[in-house]
Amino acid sequence: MEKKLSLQLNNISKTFPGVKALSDVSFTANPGEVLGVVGVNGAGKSTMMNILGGLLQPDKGGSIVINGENVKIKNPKEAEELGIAFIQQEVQVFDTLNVFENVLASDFNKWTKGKTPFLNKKDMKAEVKKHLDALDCRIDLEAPAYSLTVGEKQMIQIARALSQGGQILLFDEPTASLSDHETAKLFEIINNLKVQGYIIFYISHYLDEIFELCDRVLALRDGNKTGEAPVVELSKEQLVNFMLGHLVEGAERKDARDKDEIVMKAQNISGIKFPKDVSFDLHRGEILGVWGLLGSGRSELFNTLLGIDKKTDGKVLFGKDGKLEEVTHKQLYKHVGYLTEGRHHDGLFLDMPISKNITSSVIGRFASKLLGILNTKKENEESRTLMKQVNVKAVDENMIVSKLSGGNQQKVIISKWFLKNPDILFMDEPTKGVDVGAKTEIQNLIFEKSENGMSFVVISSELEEIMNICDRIIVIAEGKLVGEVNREEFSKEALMAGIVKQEENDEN
Amino acid sequence: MKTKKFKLDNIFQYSTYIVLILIFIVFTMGSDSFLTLKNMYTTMFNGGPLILVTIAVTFALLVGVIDLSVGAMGYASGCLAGILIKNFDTPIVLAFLAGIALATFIGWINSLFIVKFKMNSMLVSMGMMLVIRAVAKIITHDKTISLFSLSFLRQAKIEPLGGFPVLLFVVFFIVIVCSVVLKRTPFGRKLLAVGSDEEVAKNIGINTDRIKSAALIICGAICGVAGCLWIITLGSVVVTGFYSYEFLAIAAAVLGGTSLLGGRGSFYPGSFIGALILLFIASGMAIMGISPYAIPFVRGVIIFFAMYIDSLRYKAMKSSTLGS
Repeated sequence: MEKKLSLQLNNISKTFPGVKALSDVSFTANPGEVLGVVGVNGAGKSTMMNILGGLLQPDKGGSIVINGENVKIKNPKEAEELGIAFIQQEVQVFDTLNVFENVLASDFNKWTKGKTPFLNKKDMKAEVKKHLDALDCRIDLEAPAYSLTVGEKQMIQIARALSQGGQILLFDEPTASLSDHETAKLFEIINNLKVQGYIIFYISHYLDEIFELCDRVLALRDGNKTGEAPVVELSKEQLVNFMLGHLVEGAERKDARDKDEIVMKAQNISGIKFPKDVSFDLHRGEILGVWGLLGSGRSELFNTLLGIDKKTDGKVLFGKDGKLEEVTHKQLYKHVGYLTEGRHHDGLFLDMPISKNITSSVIGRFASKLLGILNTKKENEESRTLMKQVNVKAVDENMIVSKLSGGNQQKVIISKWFLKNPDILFMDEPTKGVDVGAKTEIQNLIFEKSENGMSFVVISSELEEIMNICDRIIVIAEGKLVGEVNREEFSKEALMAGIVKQEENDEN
Repeated sequence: MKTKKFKLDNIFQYSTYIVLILIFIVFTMGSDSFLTLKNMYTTMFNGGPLILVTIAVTFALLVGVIDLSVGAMGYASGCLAGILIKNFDTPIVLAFLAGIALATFIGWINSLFIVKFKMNSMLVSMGMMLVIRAVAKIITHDKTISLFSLSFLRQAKIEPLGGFPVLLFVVFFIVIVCSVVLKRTPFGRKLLAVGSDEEVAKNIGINTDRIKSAALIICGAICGVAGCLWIITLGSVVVTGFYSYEFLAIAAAVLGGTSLLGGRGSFYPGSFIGALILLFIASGMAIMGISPYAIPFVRGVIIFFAMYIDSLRYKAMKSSTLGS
């Protein structure tokens, strides 16, 4: 890098109608360091990044100084010219274009053969190969993007940023859908870029990542800067305090299991690919964890049990009042709730108000007997009660769900299932993309409900979380049940044991 | 890393060729006069308007817009050119240019509604279709306009090539140019990018509104050419011109592998071969003396088949994303 890079924000504010999303935030970012940006949902992190990326305009009064010059970033193109590259949380990749086209998608015009209007594929490929090689990423340049893993798509984004001449890289929760292995690789790359003198912003909900990767951290709360310090000088508690303004206390898990009553029994469940011959019991009031690496077939187990994926073999028995009876998935569905992993595409009606989302799973309850006319007043009342119980932060029950933060959206889904009040609630990554505060609240709600007799089956990639909330964990690898660990014996080693054994078996 | 997914994709790529070849085999066995140069030329020449409208609608489909006014735009262009020639003695070239300009203008209006005002493309273009048809009906008083002066264009043939109709070159030329633009130029890639994911395209700084508008305006212009070709091949302007071509063209495009969701497709082989399939089905059935009423039925079955293939293709794409 020829010139010394610098970035400074002075008194940046951003007002949306009715909300001050950022107020008077100032800081300096230095080359050769990773600056972590933390804050709960709605704290203003995304607003700040969007201002830098040219997607939003700040209020008048503040200034952005890059390399000593006052700049205005009016659109993504100008951000790009200033060397700012935004690596967004949702992978910005065109599924139907291939790898090299994806990397260079932002400036196709640059890649024509001399003065002809035709693209120079040879040069394009050479350029892309150069950047991908630098990232130590070997993917077929001609492969269509839809055939890539999320990690590989992430690499495309980074390669794109570098080929645009990006020197200020903004990473917005890049690890949200990466496997452990891919995350490790990404960190290596970020560290490498850091050493080369890039300015790197790193936004994450995972505090562990902040401590592992970042040099300095900037905390935001309600649009204000609440803390800025080198990571080595901070403890986790201090950081949480910056973000929330108070300390969160998670409740202790009290064992609420009814040892005598089995509420569901899965026998030899098999699906088309996954799962393979999985059996387990679920007791009333139990919180059962399902743990496995990404791609181990955890979600497929849920989908097969509930009849969303085809079940090729096995039985599901459901127990009510102490009697176990075999049930079809349709019968089972009457007694269960399913909080899916991708809340945006299959968990919420994003354009509908909170109340209609909450009542959607049991809409029949609000219809009059004779003509089936809905009682919207009752709908709204019950929604309000639940919103209070679950602590959904919103203006009122008529607010459109897409306007809520991730944590609050998740709470709306939870409210929906609590209203149905099923015997069993399946949860796939219940706290993914949810901030620390909301996460603890959700965990506390799970405890509370289980003490009232609801049983839970929970998938989580976060080891710490699953060990914190579950009574028992079953371990899945390649669709098979490879281990079962009780709360007293919880440890990473105990959980990994089954997986390691499975891998050894495969090798032999 | 040549895995299964790639092979699956290849099969889909060739599926249009396979269908076309099957159709050829069936009709060649059914009748001696099917596989003759004369029949090939006539079918393609008379089908020129459908081929061009398919190319036009493919531009819209690529950026994720379903344009139902393509047939009507072709009709409007032919209608205007016809009236100018017949009633105002306008030179043929000028009349054609006027027709093409009109269709281009309608394409621009479509883009205004769809891109600028963000209205639903299907409803906007359907409204446009109804308006154009109604206006044309009022102007022509629902009467046929005969255009004998155009017959020299229809009869222009290259004898050494077995009577190749000169104007078929226009069709081939447009197909080739569009294909090269899509495959080899920055604009082509941007079309695919915008259709693939508009949000992403916007985020990385592509001017998505401009690309979409351009696609819709080009769509109009090509429909305009189709309209001129139509009155040449038919020798008259009739009210039923381009009737239900919007659906045939979309079906032909999808048959050729263009996705209704945008971001995937090609002019050649894709849409071109797709249109040929529909054309040769009709031609073959006519030659074999099958009732003309059966043609829409068979085309319908083929369209179902095409949609099924499209859904399979989509599923294959989805599963390869999730299964990774």
